[in-house]
Amino acid sequence: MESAAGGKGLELVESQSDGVAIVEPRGRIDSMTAGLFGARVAELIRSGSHHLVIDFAEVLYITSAGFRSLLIAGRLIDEFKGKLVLCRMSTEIRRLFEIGGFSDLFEICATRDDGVRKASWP
Amino acid sequence: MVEITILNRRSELGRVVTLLERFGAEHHLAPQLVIDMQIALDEVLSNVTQYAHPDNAEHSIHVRLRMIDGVLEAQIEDDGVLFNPLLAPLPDLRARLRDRHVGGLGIEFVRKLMDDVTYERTGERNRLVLRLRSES
Amino acid sequence: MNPANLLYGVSDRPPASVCLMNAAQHVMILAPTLVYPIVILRAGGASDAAVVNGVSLSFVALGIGTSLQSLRHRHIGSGYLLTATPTAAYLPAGIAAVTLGGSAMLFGMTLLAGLFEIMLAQVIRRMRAFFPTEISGLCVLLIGTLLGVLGIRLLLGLDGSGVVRSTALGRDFALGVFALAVMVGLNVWAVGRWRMYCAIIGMSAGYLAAAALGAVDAHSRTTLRLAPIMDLPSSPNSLPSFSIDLVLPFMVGALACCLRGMGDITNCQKVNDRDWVRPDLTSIRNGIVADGVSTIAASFLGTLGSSTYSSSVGMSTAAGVTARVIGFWTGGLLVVLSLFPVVAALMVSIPNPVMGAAILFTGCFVMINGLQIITYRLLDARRTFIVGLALTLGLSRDIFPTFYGGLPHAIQPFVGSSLIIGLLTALALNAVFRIGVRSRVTFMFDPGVDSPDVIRSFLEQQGAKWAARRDVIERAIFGTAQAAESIAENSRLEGPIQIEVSFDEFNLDLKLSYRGDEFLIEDHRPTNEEIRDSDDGIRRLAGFLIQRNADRVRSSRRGDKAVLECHYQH
Repeated sequence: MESAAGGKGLELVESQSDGVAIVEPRGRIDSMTAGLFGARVAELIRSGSHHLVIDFAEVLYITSAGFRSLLIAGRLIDEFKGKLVLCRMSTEIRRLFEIGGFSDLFEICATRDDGVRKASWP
Repeated sequence: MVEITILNRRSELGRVVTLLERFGAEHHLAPQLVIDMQIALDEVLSNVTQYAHPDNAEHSIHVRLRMIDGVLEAQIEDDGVLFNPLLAPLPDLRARLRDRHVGGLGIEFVRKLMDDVTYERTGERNRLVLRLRSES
Repeated sequence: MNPANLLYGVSDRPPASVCLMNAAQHVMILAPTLVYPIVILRAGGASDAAVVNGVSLSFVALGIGTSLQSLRHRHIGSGYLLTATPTAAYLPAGIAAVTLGGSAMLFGMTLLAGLFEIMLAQVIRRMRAFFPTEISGLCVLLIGTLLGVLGIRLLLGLDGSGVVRSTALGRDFALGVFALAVMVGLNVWAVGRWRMYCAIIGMSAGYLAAAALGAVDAHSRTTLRLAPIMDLPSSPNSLPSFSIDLVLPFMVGALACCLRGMGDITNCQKVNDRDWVRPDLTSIRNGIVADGVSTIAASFLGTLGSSTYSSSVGMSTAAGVTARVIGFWTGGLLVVLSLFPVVAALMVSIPNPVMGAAILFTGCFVMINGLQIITYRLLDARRTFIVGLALTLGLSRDIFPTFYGGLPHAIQPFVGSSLIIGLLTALALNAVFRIGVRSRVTFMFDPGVDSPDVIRSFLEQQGAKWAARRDVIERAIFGTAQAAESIAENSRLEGPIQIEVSFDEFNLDLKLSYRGDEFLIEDHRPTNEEIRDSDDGIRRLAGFLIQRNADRVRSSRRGDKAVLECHYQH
């Protein structure tokens, strides 16, 4: 089941798989769109999706504001004792996570299936 | 018997090949026999055109083909310098190296292909005779 | 960094048995190219024995050339496993030479070509702009198609104008397909040794099948029977002679060899280095010098000039073995084989369909490698036309041979082969299209008004014009977008930001000028708490990301403007 919401610069596509919520941001996650992104993810977590996968396949880039919203989401999901997994990053996005020192903070994997599986475990 | 006179140029060699083919057809010779003689003639004539006339002028070469008692015989005559296309291996190395330079491998081919090869020099002319027995 | 698909990389030292077998394989796939010296020898009226002798001498020349190429000397040798081959680039010129002045003329003109190639090697560096990477890639692609077409021609027994010459087309075709099937099948489905030696196995299988079917012709069989097992090849000892009429065809041939060498060596670099980003020009120059010296050696041995053998790169890739020591093994093996005329006779006797299969097999790898080199860079309109027109014109040479054959005599050297036409077209168009490509462009960006997507589209467009690497452009897009965002939020920005981009083959520079506070670059990463909980944390993270993303960053004040410069190495 998919639904989409978003303004200029970022579109959010959501779906479900095996009880895990999947969010696929499409576009830029920067100072203009990070707020929208962060708010939606928080909403999902608070309404019961404690196992969450964020699919980065269609993300063009993510700036400092975007990283902040990810950090916030990460802390929120820890509060709910849930699991957040990031998947399908391009080489460039992966590199950004590495130079920013974020690649050890999040669970990152290659495919969406891997992500769903990892997010399902406690 | 057939004969032909050609100039000492490589482009002329084809005429000898054609002559030999026709001769072979007329006398119903085995194809392998014709091929063997072709190869031998090619080697010999190549060497002659290349080495027998250091003055680079035009010379003629005379080729004769005939069958005698079941033997295919080819005679090659030219008026070049003293030139034996089948130099026997010489004892000293320097001469052998010189021999090498003058179409060494070709000589091997001719020796192996032909049943008999004779050379003589009469006056100002070289004459080489190749003989190949036809299996009847 | 060795790519994962290589069993033995360029610096490895495989066991002797592997070296020997791979060397043997490289020698076997050289067999089809012997057709070129054979054609030249016959054009000069050589007898069968002289042809066999000439082939033996070619072995020596190729042995020298292959060994020189594997060297990693300061002045000569690219250091890769890249065999030397008698090349079609010199064929039309070579035939003209022997017709005009016999072997002496071939000697002299080939010698000149080799010297010219060495000279060309010295100027490649300076002429970088006129020989961009995609032209070398085009060269490799054209050679791949040339090889493919030659393979088909030999397979079907066609002559130059596409007329069927084979007297037993069905049988020959079946032989060729059989040999090809063995090679391809082993390469696709087999592993280990069977895969490594697929070419030699395929050619041997094809030869045996041919012998069984009587497809080895009588002349070849006789010559094979006559050839002594062991003998010293006799070297011609004429003095070189020259002709002004032949200078142009041989120089064009040398240029083609130079470009082919550039393409092949680039290919080797790419195959052996997973992190390959741009051609190493020193290695290329030294490799071209090796080829020039190899051609000079060939001239002294009375045979056709050489170039690098594109198929050998295809072969090493297919076998997964690219160790440079095998170059020395192959060179040595070739020289040793020159002492066995029976081997030369054997090579000469390989039936055309089997030769065709081998050429077609390796040609596939060469074609794909050429395509990869071409598409590695972003392509814009200019480059689209350069590659498209050059490729089509080049291919048309094989499709319409009668048209090209009928062109005026003076033009013939320029249209001798698909390779020459394709290359000359590409070089000419490239030179023409350099008009109007500015190396520095400026645009204004107003964060309040313009969407950051503008930055992306602008940089992508420019990047395509400059044929810049995708990954560097991506980095520049991120860096610029992040900087613009941060400046807009934190630097009390007044008005738009002026963004200036400049580019040359090795440097991409972005300069942002604006009215506002100087940009603060961060050396240390803020903590996660700081990022999460404070605005200052975001600002500092941005400064940190920008600094780590670029290769060099500098923030300064120029007059009333603040300036941020980011440098990316290309």
